[in-house]
Amino acid sequence: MTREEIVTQVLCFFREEFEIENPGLDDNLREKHGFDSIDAIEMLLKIEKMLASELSHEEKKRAMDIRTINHICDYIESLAVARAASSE
Amino acid sequence: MKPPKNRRVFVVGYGVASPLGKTFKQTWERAVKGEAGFRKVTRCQVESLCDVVGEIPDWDPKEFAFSNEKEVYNWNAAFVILTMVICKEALEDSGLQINGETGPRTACLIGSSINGTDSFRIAMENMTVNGPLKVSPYLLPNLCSNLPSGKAGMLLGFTGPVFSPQGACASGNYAVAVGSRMIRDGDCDFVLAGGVDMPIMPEIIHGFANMNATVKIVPHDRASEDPSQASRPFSVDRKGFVLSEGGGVIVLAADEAISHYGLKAKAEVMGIGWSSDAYHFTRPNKDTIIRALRETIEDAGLKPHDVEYVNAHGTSTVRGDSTEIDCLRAVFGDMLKDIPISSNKSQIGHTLGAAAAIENALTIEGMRQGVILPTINHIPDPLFDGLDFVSNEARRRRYEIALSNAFGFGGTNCCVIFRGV
Repeated sequence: MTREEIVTQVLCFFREEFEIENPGLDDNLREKHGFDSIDAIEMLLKIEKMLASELSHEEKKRAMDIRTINHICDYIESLAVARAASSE
Repeated sequence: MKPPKNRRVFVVGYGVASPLGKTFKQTWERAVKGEAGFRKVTRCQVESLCDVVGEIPDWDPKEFAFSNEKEVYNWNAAFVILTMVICKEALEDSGLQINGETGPRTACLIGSSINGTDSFRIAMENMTVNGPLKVSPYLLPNLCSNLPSGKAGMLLGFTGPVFSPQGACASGNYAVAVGSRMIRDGDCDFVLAGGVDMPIMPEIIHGFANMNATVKIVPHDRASEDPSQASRPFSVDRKGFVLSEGGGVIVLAADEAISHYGLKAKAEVMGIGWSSDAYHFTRPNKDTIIRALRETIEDAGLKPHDVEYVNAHGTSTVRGDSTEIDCLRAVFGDMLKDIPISSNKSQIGHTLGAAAAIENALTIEGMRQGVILPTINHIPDPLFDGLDFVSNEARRRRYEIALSNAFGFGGTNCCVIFRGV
């Protein structure tokens, strides 16, 4: 999955699920868009579907630092790399 | 079933306890002055950034003539005594005498969001620390959502239907809506309708905090030095609601009963609109909210341009406030800029199931006094450019038609239109 594909999927999810249109990639999601922790839980479920694998407890804990779309994309990218490496 | 009587329904009295005061009079006086009722939590100890709350000042359930230490010990779900107090105040304000004729024709519908959760908390602690025999035999009645209305009936003597309309944070409007329909149809002549919630306890504070629903007061936030600025609906820096306790009851009456018993109407319940979202358990859904708003106006036999004031749900959350405005724009179009909108939650915080009932009482009194209560702590948000939020100070203005919005978790919406009399 390329960075561009990740960004596209995340923005699509924000548009369809949260009705947040064209958020800035560095917008503070909570302060600017009211993104709450229930949204975050649903985002993690979406990421599990994207990666077709469950997130570990440690991986979920890391998500608590996420504040922006770019953070989400960084997070997904790092998870995808880790999964690719472990499957090799 | 007998056919409905199609009677008109009026408001003849109200009782309120809120963070602005433990009576309606105290609440109204401070609301008009533009004050807020927030402070660092004192009911319990919490380590949380969400520790600014709204507490009823000087609330002591033992101080009332019908109450005492034993009564308060047994009825340890705080919403029980509070309901009795505000029902008594509302009934006294209305002038309605409960007797052999009016008692059976008087119902009481008091909604709530969290009901007797505090009672369960005490029982859990007693069981854990002292064992199962120390669980109060009063626990189960304390947990019943209809119990406060039932206890109010025991105190005041009415014997019409008592139950609890449960619509989360829209409960107060559901009580008014169902009660009005009951009077219209002829099931009763009078209804004490309202909502009550006493949610200031650690688990509820932390639960809302962990949802990011309540405002977190971080250093340099404008509320860190001044807690009164914590709730700021429709402001550019709104960051969540202030959790508050309180209760509100309004007394509804059939038109013919008003003249028969020499009562005085304060307002008419003109229209009701209700819907559910089938969408998400916390996120609001515009389409169904818009439907509820339109149905309210239609039920009242009015057009959007007739509405002269909107008492907004306005909780002070980023998404909730902008969704409400989007919905109002869809219904009122360009006219919205000429309709004052204000949120009493800027002064009272969010009293959950009590909110709409308290706000209804304030709205109706506003129509009587020719005053629109303000949205305090307001710093304009460019998203809402051109709208009139009655910023920061109450306004002198006569108005007759007011719309009250209330929305709740679970995707439930209930709006009511009142006409001032």
